[in-house]
Amino acid sequence: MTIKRLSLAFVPLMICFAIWGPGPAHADEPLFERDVLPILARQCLGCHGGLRQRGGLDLRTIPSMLKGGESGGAVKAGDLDASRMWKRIAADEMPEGEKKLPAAEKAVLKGWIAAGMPTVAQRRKNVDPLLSSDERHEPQQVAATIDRHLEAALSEANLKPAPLSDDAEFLRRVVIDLTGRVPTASQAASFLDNTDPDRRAKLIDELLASPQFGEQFGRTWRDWICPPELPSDPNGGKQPHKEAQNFGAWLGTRFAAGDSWATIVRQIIEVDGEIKNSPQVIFFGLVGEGGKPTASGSARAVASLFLGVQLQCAECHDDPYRDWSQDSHWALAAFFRKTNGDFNKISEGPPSDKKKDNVPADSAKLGQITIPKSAFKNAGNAVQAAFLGGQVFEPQGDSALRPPLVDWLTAKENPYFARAFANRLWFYLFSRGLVNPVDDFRELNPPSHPGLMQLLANEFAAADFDVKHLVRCVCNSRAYQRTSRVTPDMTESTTAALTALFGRVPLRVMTADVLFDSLKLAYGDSKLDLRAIDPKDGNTNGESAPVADAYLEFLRRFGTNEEDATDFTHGIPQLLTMINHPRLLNGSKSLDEFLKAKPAPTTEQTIEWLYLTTLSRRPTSEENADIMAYVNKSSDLAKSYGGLLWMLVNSSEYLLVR
Amino acid sequence: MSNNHPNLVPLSRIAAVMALVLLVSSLELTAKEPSPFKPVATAEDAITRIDELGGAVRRIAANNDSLEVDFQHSGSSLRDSHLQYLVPLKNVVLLRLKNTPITDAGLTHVGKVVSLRRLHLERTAITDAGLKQLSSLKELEYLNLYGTAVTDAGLEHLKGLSKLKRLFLSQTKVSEAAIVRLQSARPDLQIDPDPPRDKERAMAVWERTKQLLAAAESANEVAQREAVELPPQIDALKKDYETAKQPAAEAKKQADEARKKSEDANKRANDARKQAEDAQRQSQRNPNDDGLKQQAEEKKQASEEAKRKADELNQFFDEARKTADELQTKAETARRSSEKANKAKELAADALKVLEGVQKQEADARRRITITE
Amino acid sequence: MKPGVTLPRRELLKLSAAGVLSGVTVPWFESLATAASVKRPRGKACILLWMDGGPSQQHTFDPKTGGEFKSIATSVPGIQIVEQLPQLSQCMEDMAILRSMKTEINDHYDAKYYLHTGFKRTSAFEHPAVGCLASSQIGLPEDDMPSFVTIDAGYDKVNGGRLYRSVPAYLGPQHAPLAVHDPYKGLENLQHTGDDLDARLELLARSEGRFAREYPTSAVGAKQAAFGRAIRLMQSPRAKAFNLDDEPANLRAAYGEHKFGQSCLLARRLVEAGVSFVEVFHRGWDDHEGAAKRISVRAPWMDAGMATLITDLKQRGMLDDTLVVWMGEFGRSPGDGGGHFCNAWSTVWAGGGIKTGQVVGKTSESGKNAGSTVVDRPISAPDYVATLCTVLGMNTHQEFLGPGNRPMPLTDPTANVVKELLA
Repeated sequence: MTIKRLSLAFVPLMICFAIWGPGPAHADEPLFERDVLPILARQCLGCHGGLRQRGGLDLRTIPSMLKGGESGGAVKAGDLDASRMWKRIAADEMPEGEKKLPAAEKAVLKGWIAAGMPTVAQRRKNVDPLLSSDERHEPQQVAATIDRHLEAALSEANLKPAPLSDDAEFLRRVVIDLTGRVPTASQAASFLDNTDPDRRAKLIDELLASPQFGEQFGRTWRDWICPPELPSDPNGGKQPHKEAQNFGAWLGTRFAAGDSWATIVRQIIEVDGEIKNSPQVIFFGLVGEGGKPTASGSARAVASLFLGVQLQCAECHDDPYRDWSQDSHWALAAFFRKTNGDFNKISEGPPSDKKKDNVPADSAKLGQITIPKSAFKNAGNAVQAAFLGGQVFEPQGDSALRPPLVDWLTAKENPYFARAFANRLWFYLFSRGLVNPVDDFRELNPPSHPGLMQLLANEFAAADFDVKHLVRCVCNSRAYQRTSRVTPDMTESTTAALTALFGRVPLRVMTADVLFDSLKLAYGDSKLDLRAIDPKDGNTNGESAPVADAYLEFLRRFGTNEEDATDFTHGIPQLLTMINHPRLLNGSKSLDEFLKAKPAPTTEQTIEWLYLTTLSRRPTSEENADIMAYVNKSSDLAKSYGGLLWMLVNSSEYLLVR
Repeated sequence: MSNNHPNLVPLSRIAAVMALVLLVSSLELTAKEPSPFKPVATAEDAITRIDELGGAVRRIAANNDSLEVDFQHSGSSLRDSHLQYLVPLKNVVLLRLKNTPITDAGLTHVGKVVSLRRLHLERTAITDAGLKQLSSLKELEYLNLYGTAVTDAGLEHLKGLSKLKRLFLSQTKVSEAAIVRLQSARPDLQIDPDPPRDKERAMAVWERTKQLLAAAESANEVAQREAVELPPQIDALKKDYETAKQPAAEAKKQADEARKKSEDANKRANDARKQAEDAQRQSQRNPNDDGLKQQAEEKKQASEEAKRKADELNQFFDEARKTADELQTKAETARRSSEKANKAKELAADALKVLEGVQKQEADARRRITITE
Repeated sequence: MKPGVTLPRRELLKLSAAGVLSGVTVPWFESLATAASVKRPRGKACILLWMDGGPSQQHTFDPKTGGEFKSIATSVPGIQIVEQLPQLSQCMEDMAILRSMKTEINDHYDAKYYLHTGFKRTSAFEHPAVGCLASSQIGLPEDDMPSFVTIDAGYDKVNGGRLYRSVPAYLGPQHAPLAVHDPYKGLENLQHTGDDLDARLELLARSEGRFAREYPTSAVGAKQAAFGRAIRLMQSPRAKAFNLDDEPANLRAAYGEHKFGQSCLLARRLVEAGVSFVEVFHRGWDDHEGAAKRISVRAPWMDAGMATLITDLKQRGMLDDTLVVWMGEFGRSPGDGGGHFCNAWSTVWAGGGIKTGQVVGKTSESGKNAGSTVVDRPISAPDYVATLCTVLGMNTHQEFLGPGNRPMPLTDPTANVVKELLA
């Protein structure tokens, strides 16, 4: 808690020390509830608050501040000179005693008064999405509106957006984002040679129609739903990797088919059956304890993934930083009382009475749930099922509890569902959500661009939660297509600020899945295996058996920081693999195929092909010169090609996504 | 390189440096000649030079101003003259020179660091002569000469170090006799190696492994023999067990029944006795009542009868139980034998493995005796 | 001590990875001070001998009268261990046996997690293992050699079963261990098998230079810094530590021509080369069919490896600065050692400047089930990990920024350090 307060107080400083990376919505002005009230609480309310009001002055609310005390009004919006409170604080007359406000806190107060005393509550109300909310629009129109929102905020912050990316930058980025691997050489060449003015929009359409789109989004959501420490059999440690991958594939086919997000979520939450027929059964196993679903775990996961809110603190007590009371958590959990089973099977039946879950059969009635002993407070209270936001739910007889929850969840008017997905999509494409953390929508954590958030949510809902439509809208925007280059006129502070406001696209690290698929393309080997030992060499029995799965071991080794795609986290083991693994040192099967073509390709053509296969662009003349020098020094042309390929996959440009 | 905040390094400069580092890394770094010693004025400058040489200056503990200077990972770039950088530093108590190319000349400078309490000279190029320079280190408590060319003569120079508590002399040219002499002259000085003690230990280990070997050998002999003798009997032993199982079960059943009978009889006898006692009391209360007297007599007889019956059945139960226990033990034994026969080959293989391991243990222990001799 | 405030992990990572920290003065961190200044104290190194599966205490370091293994006197009067470990019995004055381990969890995976982190496993997030803590708190940052190395940790099982692996969790991935799978083969991918590495590196350097000029961002800086570290490791003379070939044959024989023995030798070499924490694994101690038979076979090489390690460290003068720990995830049932037993079991510590030549804690001596309860001075898993961290020189009150920005303590704040071990 102390850490959070420190960081809030230092918000203005963080703008200057921008090398620390983008801070929380720092180009905003200070807001009353979020930035000013904590300072007042610490420094002022002891004498001017609930217990006593010295000089008749109560600083707890804006009206009381405006009314003031014996000396009249304490503040005047937008007018520092007329704000007595400010003047006394600036002169260190207030607070009395030895401890004065540090410079940073003074800056916050000053900025707030000068900005007209804005509040979080105001912010949330004054949003204009700029497009009508109840109909689906053309992607180009939505894209343009997205840009209007962003460019308005940028100009308010006095920042100039970065120029658009060139075709090579855009090509590699969009193919990776939408299909999870680099373009093939021919795909790259044909796009780079394309002169159609609509080529970018058409490329986006093409990629969205491919099955790899589904695969990539499926495995992205798989990673969001399946935590790194998968619950396992505590004795043997067997973990459901295969089941998790099947789940990702299942999601993938649905994304590829263009199923509505509402349908997909319904199929997950209402699943009833065995895992071998319904891979989504794993969802409940993962969020519970020891592989068995719990009402509390299910509520928490549904909230984080599909509602965009964090409920975990509210499990045990009212959440002091968020809007959720303990009751709201358990009211949601009540919908999962009848969900029983384990990793292999989920069904809706009579409420379970396992000791970790609550409710013995004769206690709270259906539609309610008893807060368990494990909660800090209020253990033993029965809570009625209610949707988030308070509307109570009474079940009819012995009916199933999950379908009504999903009905509410996926209704067009549900304020959480559409925006939760839209924010995650934005986070996926820009490495930063409009709300951060990505599942933490609340009063005191408003979106950096409230109007834009509303626009995306409206569009998604109006389009019946059509995932491809939303992706198409965002990818066609200028914002998505801006360069990630740092232009010479950009300073460090402007770079960070610009990126945080989506005026520039950040450089991102390829995830393990993307890297593996891209290396397979580069080396023309769909069975690429970068494990150290040949499984045939090692002992295949017992605990020293090597991992049976080259893919799984690669994921373990090259996993990235899920919370921040701009964070390069690889170290010695990963880089030693890239530098020295025998399989990556000397050439590729697809290169061999390429060289067999008739007429035989020249050295220049081969170099170009290698660049296209890895970096998705052609080499510059400077690069060509360097490479020709390298090639000519060696007597073995094939080895030089291998060396060039090695160099390309070890380059920053390859491992990062521009 | 535009508006830089004064405290921040421009990112573009980092980038250029990184690329250069990469370029330089690809060449042979170690071929560089270290920069020669240049006198420094302040401790800060000395620390910077030490850092450049691959050394490190550390605090000894969080709340302590004393310093440690560590050159053990500086590779081959350290030269004797560089040790002069120690002079401006205050309160250096620990100096690590392990694996550095320091020679006797370097020890001249080390000798000036009179605050030193602990000195590491493992695998340096020093000799006996250099140790003379250490006589000024009056505070020295710990000296590590592992892997150096020090001989018996060198030990003479350490005589003046009255605070010395720990001394390491393994892999040097110092003789065992010299170590023993030094140890008796300085009983409070802990010296490694400790030849007499090491010999003692090696002997103790050998004695123990010899015993283990003897035990393993005889166990193995038995196991091997049984592996030959028992397997042919597997069927027979199995049959024996089968044969023994049935009567054991029968006897148990009978014993259970007998127990039940005996318990019942005991209960009846008890009841009868109580009745007899009641009747007797009643009769005594009304001595003139002949009916009661007769009743008491009858009850008494009934009680005696019941007791006799109970005794009989108790004895019967005892015998039945004994029989059941005997047969059970027989069956158990038969089962164990049968199992042993089944596992005889496996047990023999295990015993052989244990024997091989222990043989090696004993051989190693024996070898160590001859080494330390 | 007040809990230390740390920078959000993300930011710290980016900075250190980008190599930006040198030359930057940061007001509130002494450890981020400029390179040419007095560094923080160097902690002790640790060699952890992990006997995976749960080693039976009554067949090793806590024998009972009438038990399956006979006990023998050691070089410290009054302390006895099993007769199958004669060399270790002569090292007793440099060892301390902790006989009162009482750690609540009898399941393999969860127990391994508990004993490695000091926290109980939850599926919400991961805790850092003690080796990763050592790397982050006492490891030498920006050093050529990695701070934490595991030897023969094994892979995930063929059927998808997962072996516990030390993870750095919220400490950041640079504190993940470097794994050596086979001490005879050294570090995976350390050697470049081509013969034109220099030419390739030069080509790469030019390309990187161009790219970094156009994209001078922390991600690029971090990548180039990590790449540089890998190259430096490949070319560092200290990396020879990974290769056992230049150890004298008789010393290799003394450690034992067995993977465990050679792993112990490799661990010593790595500590000499500057690695702070080495975890040596031996798997296969889960003796459900009874411990006597199988430990009889294991004892010779365990005795040789561990005793030679202690003696070797002692002769080189390294023992006071290196803590050797022998442990598993729990012990085994009193009697035949057939089942998992977390209620009363033993671990052994040596060196590291602790008070050696003693036994800490006691298990029951008499009765049918001798050794089934701790009768003196129980040591819980949090106590154990806190003590380990304290001996190595870490500040156990240190806090980190955990998931959801929640401050996470280095060890459980209710843990009690085993003071009997501290000198």
